Amino acid sequence: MTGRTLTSARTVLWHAAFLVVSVLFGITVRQQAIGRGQESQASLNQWDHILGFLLEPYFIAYFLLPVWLFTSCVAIHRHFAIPALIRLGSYRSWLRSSILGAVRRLIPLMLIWLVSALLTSIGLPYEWGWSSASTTPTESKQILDVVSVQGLPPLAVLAIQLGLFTVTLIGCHAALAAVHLIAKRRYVTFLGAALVFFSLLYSFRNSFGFAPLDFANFFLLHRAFDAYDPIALVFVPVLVAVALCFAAARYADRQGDARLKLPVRWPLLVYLALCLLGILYAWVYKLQPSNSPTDLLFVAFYGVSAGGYTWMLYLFHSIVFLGFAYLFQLGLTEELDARIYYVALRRGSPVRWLAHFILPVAGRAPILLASLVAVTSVVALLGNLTGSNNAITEGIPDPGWVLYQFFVNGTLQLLCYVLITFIVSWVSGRTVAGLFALGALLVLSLPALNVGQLLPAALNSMGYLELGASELVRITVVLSIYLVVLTVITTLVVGNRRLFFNERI
Amino acid sequence: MLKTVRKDLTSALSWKVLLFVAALLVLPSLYGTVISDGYALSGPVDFFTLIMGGVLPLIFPLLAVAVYAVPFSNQLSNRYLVYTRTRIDIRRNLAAKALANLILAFIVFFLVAFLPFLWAFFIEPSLGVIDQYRQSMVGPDGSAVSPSIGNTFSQLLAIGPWAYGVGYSMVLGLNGSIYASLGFVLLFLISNRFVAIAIPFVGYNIANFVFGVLAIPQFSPAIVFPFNLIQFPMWVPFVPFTILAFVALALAVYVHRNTHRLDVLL
Repeated sequence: MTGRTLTSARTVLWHAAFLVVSVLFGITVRQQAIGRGQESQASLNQWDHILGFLLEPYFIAYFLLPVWLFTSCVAIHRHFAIPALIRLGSYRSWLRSSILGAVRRLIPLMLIWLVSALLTSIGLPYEWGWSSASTTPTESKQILDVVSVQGLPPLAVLAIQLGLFTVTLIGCHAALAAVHLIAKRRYVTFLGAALVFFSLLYSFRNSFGFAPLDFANFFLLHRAFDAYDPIALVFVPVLVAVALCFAAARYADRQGDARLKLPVRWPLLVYLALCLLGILYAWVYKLQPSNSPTDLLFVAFYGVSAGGYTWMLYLFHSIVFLGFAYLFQLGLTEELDARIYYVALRRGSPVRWLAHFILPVAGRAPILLASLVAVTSVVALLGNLTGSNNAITEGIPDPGWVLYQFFVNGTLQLLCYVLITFIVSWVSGRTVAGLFALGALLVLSLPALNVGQLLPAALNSMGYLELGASELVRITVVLSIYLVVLTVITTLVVGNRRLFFNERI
Repeated sequence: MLKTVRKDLTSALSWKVLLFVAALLVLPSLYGTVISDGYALSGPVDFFTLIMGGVLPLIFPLLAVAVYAVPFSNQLSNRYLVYTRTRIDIRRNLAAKALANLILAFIVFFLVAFLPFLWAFFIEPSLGVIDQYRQSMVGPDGSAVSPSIGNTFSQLLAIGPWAYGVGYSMVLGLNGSIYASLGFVLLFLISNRFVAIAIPFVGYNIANFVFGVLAIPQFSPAIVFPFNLIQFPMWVPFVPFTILAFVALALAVYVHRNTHRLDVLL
């Protein structure tokens, strides 16, 4: 007997046992349904039994789910082997194939469940619609009372319940697989499964106020009908959870091959957290509910004005915009110190390398600004800053100019910062010099030094809005000229063989 | 040991560093004097505040590491320090360099405050460069107030101007030497020299921002320049200083105990 035949024989036995338990339980459910029908003296049909069985909390919580979780854990552990990982190439494809395996395991189980429900319903009258017993409201709110009044035919309810249950079980499997991917320990996966099991047990008895955390909603349609309207929304948290699992797999993939890279991720996380903190600071300390979201953007990125600066607002402005240049410097350091010769060789010429290196950074500048605007709007909405009187931005030409200053001059300013630090690092042959360029920019941004707004430092400050629209356009022109000059210098410097990085020390 | 320190100090003072230090000593006073026309200054204390509170608070740690740690980092990049291991005990060598760094930074930053103090309190009044001071400092209600309530360190003015000048210069010198030491020690712990040099500067600005958001600016590292804050008790500026000193000491002890295992020195 080959291993495959043995496995299939074991599977058949396993499925047969599952069928027997289901049928036996189905018979008890049927007897209960008949008992209830006699009590209320209303006629039953096959749906009372079939749906009653498929929505039976005890069967799901104490039999189906534990069986599924246990087999999932075993399957994940078996599947997480070196040959499979090598064949699949990445954790993401491993997760995908693990989920496909779970689907293959689940389909027979669902069929057996359905077949046992159909089998045990033999003898009850067959109808297309709801029976009078299920539509008669009872004092103790029964399962069928809830699902029969939703305006859906019984067949649709059956399909939705099966669909929801399938998606949820797949979601559970994906979550366990993701846990296994990250922890890589069998007992952690089993602990995760136990956690799912006990949270479901708890949730069956006591429903949470917060629907996405109420597990029972994803297993039982009558609970889902109570929590979600329209019912299709119930699928959203499960699908989000599956997407998060894939994100975790992607993270694990990155983790796996990122050992040679600089720890750019931590600085990035700190940077993003600081951005959020600054926006929250502007909201908490500086604004009233009567302010508009534009006011929040204006205050948060106030920076400097022609008259002076506020310490905290200027610090935040520098953290956001010079911080972007600092993150660029981090990437540049790694590139220049570790592998400039190799990458320049691979790209063919230093200038081509430059294009490959700088263009993605340039693309990230507007993305950063757009995300900051999005976060500011969300904070403004959550903070109830829905006023429209633009109390703070009164002295400025038009709220539209706030966005102009933020996006147009902001992008130009960021690109100038990036190119300045790049040129200084490249020409000096030491990336540390770029840090001093950042320090110089920090100082030169001060209005006392940047007289007439002629230096490309913090010119995207919202404070300059007070100078009027024509001044903003002038700033755009100044920054554009700087950008062109800096781009030309960068190309010349990188193209010049005698100025090649690291050649002069 | 002392001989090694002295040798390190003299070799550290290259013309580039000397130029940088000279600029650091002269430019703030010069700039403060130039822009003083636009301000209504009430006296030498106010003028001194104008000089010290301008640019220095923003880039103080960067200047601190620039004096010794940055030129020193070249010795690491060219493996100079590794090759000296055959001639001199590496721990002894590092200790001498750490001490040289500490002393140099202290002296430089002591002078960074002390020369402007001399300029604001003694030289400038005798020369009369600034036209005239307003007679006295005025409080919110328009009444005259003593300059000693201006900022945290001006409490020393109650003892006398020299106590203020020397006391504040000492504080600045000590803080400068702490930041310089942090940058120096981090060079051995972080293989990426850019990050090691950047951490004091970046961390300083981030900490200033976060403490400001938490509404406790008196405990931020920038309290060493307390000119735009209300007066706090004299122990307050020493809280961040003590923490930083403790961190620097812990890192130094770590480097000392693991000198033979550090990647940078292999």
